Amino acid sequence: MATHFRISKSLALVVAVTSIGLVVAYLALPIIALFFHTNPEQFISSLTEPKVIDAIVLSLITSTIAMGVIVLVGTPAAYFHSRMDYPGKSIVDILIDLPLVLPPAVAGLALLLLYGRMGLIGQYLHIFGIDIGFTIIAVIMAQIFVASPFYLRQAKALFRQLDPSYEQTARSLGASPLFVFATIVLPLTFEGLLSGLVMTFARALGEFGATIMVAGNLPGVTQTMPLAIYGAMQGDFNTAITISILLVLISFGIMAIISILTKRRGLIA
Amino acid sequence: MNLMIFMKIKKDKLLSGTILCIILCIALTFAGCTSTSPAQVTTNPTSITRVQVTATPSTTVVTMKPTTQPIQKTLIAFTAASLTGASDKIGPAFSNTSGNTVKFNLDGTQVLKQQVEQGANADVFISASNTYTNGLKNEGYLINSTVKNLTSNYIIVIIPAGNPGNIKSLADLATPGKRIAMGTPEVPVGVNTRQVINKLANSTYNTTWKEDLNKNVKTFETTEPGVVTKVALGEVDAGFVYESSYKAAKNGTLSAINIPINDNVLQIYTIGILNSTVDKVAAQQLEDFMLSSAGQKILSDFGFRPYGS
Amino acid sequence: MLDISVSRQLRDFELSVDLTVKAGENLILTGNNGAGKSTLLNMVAGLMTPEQGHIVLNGTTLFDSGKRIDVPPEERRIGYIFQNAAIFPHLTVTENIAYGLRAMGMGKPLREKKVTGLIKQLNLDQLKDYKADQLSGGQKQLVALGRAIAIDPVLLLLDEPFRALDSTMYPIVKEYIQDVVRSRDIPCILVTHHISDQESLDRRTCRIHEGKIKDPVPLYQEAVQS
Repeated sequence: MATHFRISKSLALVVAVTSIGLVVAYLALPIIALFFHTNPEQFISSLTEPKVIDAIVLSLITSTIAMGVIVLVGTPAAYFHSRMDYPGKSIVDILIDLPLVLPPAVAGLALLLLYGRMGLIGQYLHIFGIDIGFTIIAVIMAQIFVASPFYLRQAKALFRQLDPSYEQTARSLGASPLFVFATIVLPLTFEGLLSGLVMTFARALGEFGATIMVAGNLPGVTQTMPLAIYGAMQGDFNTAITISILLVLISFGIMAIISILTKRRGLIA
Repeated sequence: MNLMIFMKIKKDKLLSGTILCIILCIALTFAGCTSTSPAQVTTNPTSITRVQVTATPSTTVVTMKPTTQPIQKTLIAFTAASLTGASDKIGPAFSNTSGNTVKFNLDGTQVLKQQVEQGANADVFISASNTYTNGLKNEGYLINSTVKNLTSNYIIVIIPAGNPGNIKSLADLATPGKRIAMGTPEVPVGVNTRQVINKLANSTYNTTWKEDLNKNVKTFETTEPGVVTKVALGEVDAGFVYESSYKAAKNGTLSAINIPINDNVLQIYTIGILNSTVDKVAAQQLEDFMLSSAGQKILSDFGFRPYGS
Repeated sequence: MLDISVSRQLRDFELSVDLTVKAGENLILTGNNGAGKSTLLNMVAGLMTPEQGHIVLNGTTLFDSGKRIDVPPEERRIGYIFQNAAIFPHLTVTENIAYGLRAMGMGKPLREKKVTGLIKQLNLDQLKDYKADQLSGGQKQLVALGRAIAIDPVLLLLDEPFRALDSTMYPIVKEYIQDVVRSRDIPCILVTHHISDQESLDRRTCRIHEGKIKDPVPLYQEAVQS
């Protein structure tokens, strides 16, 4: 009886270590491989290439703007959506999830057919001299489309699980809805919203399929880092590796900063 | 006392056993990578890849043809993307004559070359660039004796239906505000486009025309069909593509501006058998078919020129 | 004086209540779960809207379906204490009590003075920097009371304030409520389950059942003062 117990406990340990080890190895090794294929000199010299710098700057600018739009519009949307009941609410729930399951290329094509020069809306915009295709706007729009579910779903869930009695009490104490939102709702959901934001930024930064469709591929204007990697891979391997490593470092950096920030605030979830 | 030591030894054994397990797993993974793996086919949103399946070249399918050949082979042909339309016809035609099937991996020649260099296995390589073909020959990926000229193509400027940019001549391409699509510097059609533009600038127009035209380029596509699509959708006012794409286009969808022969570049396509082929006989059948009058007719139907011209 | 006459169709029945509460009076509201007690309180506080009727407090109309008046909750100056006390988890006791004053824009020095006074009154000095998760049920109720009192409410609504209290806290809280209501001369509606509360508070009681007042007459015979 005692022996039986000892063996199954050991078995659990073996399975635990092996499975976790496999997960770690599977995720870490490809990233390590990236670093193995270059050396610091090559990396630094690649970094100074105008194509690379263009891609970095463009990616950071567009992703930041996309993230900003998503937060500004998405936060009130998620809030009211979670607090109110309205006709069609369940459809909106599905719509919010849609870009997650839609292949990015499909999203790109759809955006093109809507906002492109011959598109449903685009053709009217064109009359007014507004052309979205192949501009930085198109890049941002593609990023917003594919990345917004990451924030919206998180915000929705956070607001939904926030006990309404806090907001109601605050209102009865004399706080306007805006004051309540700023002093009660946001502080209590801040940490979760931030993590949703991180994912959103990362998704926007890595967006490729939709971007290449609707925004085209023009260095300095629409060639974001993922597009630059793709293009560089077809010619200059080193550049591709450099940009990839940069993206990895940026991703790690973002996650590290966020985790430090939230630890310091010590917020109650 | 003895029991405790016994348990400690057991624990250590377990720990080392587990570590051994993990090392074995990782080692197996790497071992798998270094051996010949089935042809990797990367999905490419801009190319119209016809083939996905990592078909192991030795897939045997019992054929229903009452011939003496009971085993049907499936060949993998890495093919320049400009042959996308033609490949639809070549595939079935080849099957009918040989009893074997061919799966086409269509992409920019520069991408395909990279895939071969990264270890992808295929049987036949159809290239739109002599530079890339020579590269593969020098690197030892092609069976050099099998490399033959297949077909050829000129560059042409295409305009979407309705001519939204009001492009009437090559000079108009430099008018400010026009939108142009062309290939990247790496894709063969892009290489040719740049050569053509240089020639035109030297012979007819001037450097200002070339600079202004370049300013109008809104996107660099990684495959030739990618450029065609951008034009066909009306997203750009004009695009530099292969003649074949214009000739094979449906009536009314595109119009074109010819580029004078003297300023044009005739791109010769080559076909060759890769060293990684698992069935040289069947691969040779494919090459022979495409070089035969039947194969050449299909190519010509899709707007390609014979390689002799 | 609080004058309520409201109705609203709820899921299983119609809530229809006519009620008056005098200044300085403590009206006990009892009834089974789901009878409509909390809904009624929510309507008075402005967190829920009746379909028909009016709510008038000290002559000021808070709600009138006919005249289309619906004063938002933050302007009603009603102290409403929920069942769970709803102490803001990210703020300290002091910050909780100061919240309403912050919301109305009171300056820091005045605010601090008032809050310190209240904390002393409630004997919460030891706990003033504590957060919600460090407080007991009874302590939370006291903080909630202090927080509600801070805004000088003209009406007090209490939803089961004694539920989470142990025997030591119960008399303290009970006495404090009575004290506040009497000294500030404001009406109060207190929802509770416990019969003992009714008895010990010895006040006018009212039972709600399926949205209607059942037992003792809720309306005062005295003339309604405008």
